[in-house]
Amino acid sequence: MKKMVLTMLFCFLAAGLVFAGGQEDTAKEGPSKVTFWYLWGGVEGEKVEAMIEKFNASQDKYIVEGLSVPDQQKIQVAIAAGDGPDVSDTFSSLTASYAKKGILEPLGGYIERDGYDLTDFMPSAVDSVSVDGEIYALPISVNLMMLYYNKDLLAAAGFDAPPATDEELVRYADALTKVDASGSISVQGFPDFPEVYYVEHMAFSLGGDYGKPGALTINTPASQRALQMISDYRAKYGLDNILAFNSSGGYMSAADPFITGRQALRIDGPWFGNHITNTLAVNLNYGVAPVPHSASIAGSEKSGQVQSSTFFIPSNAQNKEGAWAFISWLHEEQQMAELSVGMGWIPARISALGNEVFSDVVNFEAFADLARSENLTTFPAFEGQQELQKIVSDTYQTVLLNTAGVDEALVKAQKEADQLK
Amino acid sequence: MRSGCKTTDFRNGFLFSLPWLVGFFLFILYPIIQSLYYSFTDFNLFQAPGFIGLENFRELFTDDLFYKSLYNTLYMTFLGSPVYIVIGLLMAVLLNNKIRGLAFFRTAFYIPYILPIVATALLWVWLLNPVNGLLNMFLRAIHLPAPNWLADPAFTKVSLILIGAWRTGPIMILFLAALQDVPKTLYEAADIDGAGIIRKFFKITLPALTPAILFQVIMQIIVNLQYFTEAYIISGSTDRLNQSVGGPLNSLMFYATYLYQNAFLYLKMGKASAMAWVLFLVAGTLTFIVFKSSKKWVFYGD
Repeated sequence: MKKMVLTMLFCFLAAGLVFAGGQEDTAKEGPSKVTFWYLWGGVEGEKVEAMIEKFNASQDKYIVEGLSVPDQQKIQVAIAAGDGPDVSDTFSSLTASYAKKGILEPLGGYIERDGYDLTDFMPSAVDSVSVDGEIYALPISVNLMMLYYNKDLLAAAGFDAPPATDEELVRYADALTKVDASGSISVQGFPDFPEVYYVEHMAFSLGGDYGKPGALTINTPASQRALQMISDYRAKYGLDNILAFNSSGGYMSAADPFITGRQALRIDGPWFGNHITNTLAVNLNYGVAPVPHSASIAGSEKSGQVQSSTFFIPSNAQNKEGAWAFISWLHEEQQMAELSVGMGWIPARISALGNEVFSDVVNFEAFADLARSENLTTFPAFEGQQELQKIVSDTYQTVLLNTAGVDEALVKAQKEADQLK
Repeated sequence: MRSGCKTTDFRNGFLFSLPWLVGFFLFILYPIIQSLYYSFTDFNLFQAPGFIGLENFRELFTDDLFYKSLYNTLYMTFLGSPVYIVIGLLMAVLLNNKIRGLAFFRTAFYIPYILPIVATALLWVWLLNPVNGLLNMFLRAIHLPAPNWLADPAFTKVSLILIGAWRTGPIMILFLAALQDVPKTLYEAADIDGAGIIRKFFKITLPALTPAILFQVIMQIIVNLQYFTEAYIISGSTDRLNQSVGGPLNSLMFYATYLYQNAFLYLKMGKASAMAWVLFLVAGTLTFIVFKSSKKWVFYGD
């Protein structure tokens, strides 16, 4: 018995020594470390690392150490345990939720102290990272959707320009859609695929929005019109035919309906054009234009929804000064432009839109033009944002799959939205 | 080594099982009790939990999506389990005869189960494609209706049962093992009395297998109540990453998927914990009912 006790005691002592010996000398001279965990990996991760190297070389006060952590939950759990990084990135759709839970360091103090100019940023991008008037993250890029159109298919139907309003869109859809003898669709003339992009963006493009936190509005004329148009299209050409068409080619694959010339109109983001022209190198005669606005809602030209990729500092970060130094440097015009062109993004600064690095980017001028529009807005930034998005997509689903009418679906959705906290 | 004293025995036994006991309390019992506590709070992973009483449960029982997810899960449990058990049983009975290539057939039916589930789920997405998929091409060739398996809300769960039926290997193995224990003398006696194959099956094989069937029924209930992986992969293939997934009209929103979403997307740990405890009660009730009824239909021994 004595032997056992002595042996165990010895084991504990040895273990204690091992851990004690692992302590680093914290009173070191030299640059202080800033840990940066990012969601990108692969080629994109390398572009991020290149920017990190640039930052480290440009000054000697801080050294940023990057780590690719593509798992959002891992980052959340690490921050919750207090073992998180000094800087990380996320999407604007999560910013308000994180801010309300107290895990984001408010940036207002740093912005004022350093005189960091936010007027150059797109107003909608700044809105997407603000909660109750306080800024909790910096937006590096914006997500904009535009209308891609097949010029050959339009010309064959007698159109020399893409549809500009919702009424034109309905006319174009009828003229462009081709059906074969059995009723299956051979050319889709409406931006029905991919369904999720229409659902998320059409109401915004028609000049609508979802209100403000505390006063959410789903049952708006813009939402009604957006839902009615796609519902009518599906009723006219048959739900089964449309579902079959939408499954006939994977999104962005070589069999994608737009890429194979079977879809005349399509709502998609800046990466789509890059994919067609550069990655797949397909010789498709296509153009890019703003998504049709509403003929009946005044001032809805060049409306749209902005979502941004953001960088934030966790509130329990060890090195907040270093973190701020890094992200404020990264969001300056030149760095933002360089990182954006490498990743295929649209930068969040108006001045960066004119940067020469973008001169070779396919379709960039069209997206930049839309980005300068004053009618861009964003999804309401609040804690229940994700749940509101689910209500919107579920509402569209009931109409799109023919289990509810437009009016009843929107009334129900408004009731559910009113109950969100 | 002989210890005469009972207390010495107890102390030694206790010390030997101490590592396991410590592990059990720390990693199993403590988190379970913590989750019960969290179900009465508004815990969001980052801030200290605040007590809110039965608010989470009240929110759950007024949530349409909660009932939908429960319905979907019970659908899989009560429609899927019988399908899997019947198929597994049939395969086992068929492969209990000495036929040529027996080892090959047994292996072939078992292999789908050991293939990585994520890869096979993605493969099935292709097979079930309404336009280019093999299944629909085959159905159209024999002039049967070819539904949109993954986009039609009425057929999405049927697709999942189809995939589950393909992976019934272990059920077959279990029944095969149980079949070996059926005394051959019973069959010989039946042959002498002139019983046909069907009679032998229903009067001898089936009753002898009821303990194994009971085990399978309980296992299937427990497994299907936690159904997650295939649904997450398949509905995720049509929706977007890191967004909420649920399939067309939430027909693929299962209880475990909704729990996961509440926990990690909406960061509503309290609500998710409440869901976990409700599931525990549901599973416990169902298992209790099955056990109680088992006295009526399970034959042990002879």
